[in-house]
Amino acid sequence: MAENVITGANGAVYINIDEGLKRVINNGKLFAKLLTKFKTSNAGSLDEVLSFVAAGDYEKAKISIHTLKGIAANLALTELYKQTVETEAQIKAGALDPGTQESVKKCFAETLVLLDEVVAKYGG
Amino acid sequence: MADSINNLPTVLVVDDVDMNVMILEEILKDNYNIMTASNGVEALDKLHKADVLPKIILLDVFMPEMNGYELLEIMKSDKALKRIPVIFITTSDNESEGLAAGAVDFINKPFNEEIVKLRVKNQLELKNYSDSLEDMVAEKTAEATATLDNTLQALANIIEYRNLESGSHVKRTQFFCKALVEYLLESESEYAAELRGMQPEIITKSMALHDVGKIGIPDKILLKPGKLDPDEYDIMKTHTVVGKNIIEEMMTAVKDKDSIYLRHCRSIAYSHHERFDGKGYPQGLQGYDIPLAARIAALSDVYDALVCARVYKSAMSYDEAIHIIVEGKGTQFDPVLTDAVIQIQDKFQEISRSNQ
Repeated sequence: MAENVITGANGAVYINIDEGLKRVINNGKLFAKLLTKFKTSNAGSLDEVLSFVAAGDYEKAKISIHTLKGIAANLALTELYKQTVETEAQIKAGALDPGTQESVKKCFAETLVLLDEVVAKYGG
Repeated sequence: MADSINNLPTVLVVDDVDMNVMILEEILKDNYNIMTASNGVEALDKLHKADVLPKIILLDVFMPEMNGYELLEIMKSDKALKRIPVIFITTSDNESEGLAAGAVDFINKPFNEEIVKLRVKNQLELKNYSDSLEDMVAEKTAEATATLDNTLQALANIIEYRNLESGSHVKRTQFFCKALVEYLLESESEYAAELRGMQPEIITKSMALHDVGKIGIPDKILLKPGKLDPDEYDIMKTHTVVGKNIIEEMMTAVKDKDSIYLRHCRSIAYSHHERFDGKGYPQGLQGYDIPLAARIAALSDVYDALVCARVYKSAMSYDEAIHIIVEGKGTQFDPVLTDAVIQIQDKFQEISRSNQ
């Protein structure tokens, strides 16, 4: 059986619905609620990370990207998780590559759009 | 082990990301009561206000206000909180730091339902097992203490039955000792702090054994009507050393040389005939070299000896007894303790009258 996933424009898995549902014991409504919460409460979280980086405050950037990475992992936002892993590694190393920065920004924006589909399906 | 009205144990989840908290609640809600906090400060506040402490804490590492490591450090210095096991909510790159900081286990993000449930369940089982072991140790310790109490009291009774003239001497000296200690504590005397560190109630209990060494004194001396001759007196004086030896043998028998109860018993039995001016026996200790418990015991013992009739002497009036004690201030007796006895002489009289 094909995996229940949502892919992005580049064909990568952006949201692994099966995995997300499993995490909340198949409570679809809760999964939809968590995704909605992510969209409303965390829409600015990547900007926050990048503003810390721009200000040279890598300590705060490290904590913020770590939190975002954890949320992405827990909500099965697969591509965002992968990209935040890379972003965190670069921040920890003390320099964020502009290409990585652009890529994670694009991924984050696309994720916010794509998760509407899951919310519509399970939000009931 | 259940700990609340709905018979479910409580788990405290501390994480600043409410989505993480919501997922953990969903995973655990059927088997546990869930308390939540969004940072260390809030968690600490909830722990201090909780009627029932959580059985386990799931703690995020990176949080604003107070992070997981800081909360764990504070918990370690709190008697009640340090016993609550903490599982860190973490990512795989800081597991070892979490365990080194004192967490019992960790839960990785992203959460895996089965692993979360199993880790919480396993740690709770360990916690319950450890609690039951501690309860068992406390129970056994209480039993051992009670046995020691009863044994020592029985020993004191044997001495008293044998030394017929002294009647309720042991009981009265314990009451004098208790009254004196209570006064010294309540009046915040210069000995108050030292006494508090000595478990003062144990001093009173230990007083029962002050003459335990008399078991080694021959009847013809112990029960002799009239004054002892110098040789007999020398033998009588050995009851202090015999008493010390008996207590030390008990220390060896119960394998507890550090028992404060037996240490007080030894001090009192060995040194209650020492004098403040160094002219007492058996060691000729002087002033503060004489253990405080023994200095207290000396006054309690002498007061009772003065106001009671013995085979070799008649009873003295309470006023005469106090007069003798005042005369011994700084020579026979510790001056601070002598002043205390003067202050509570009415109480001493009452104890004496009601315990004949």
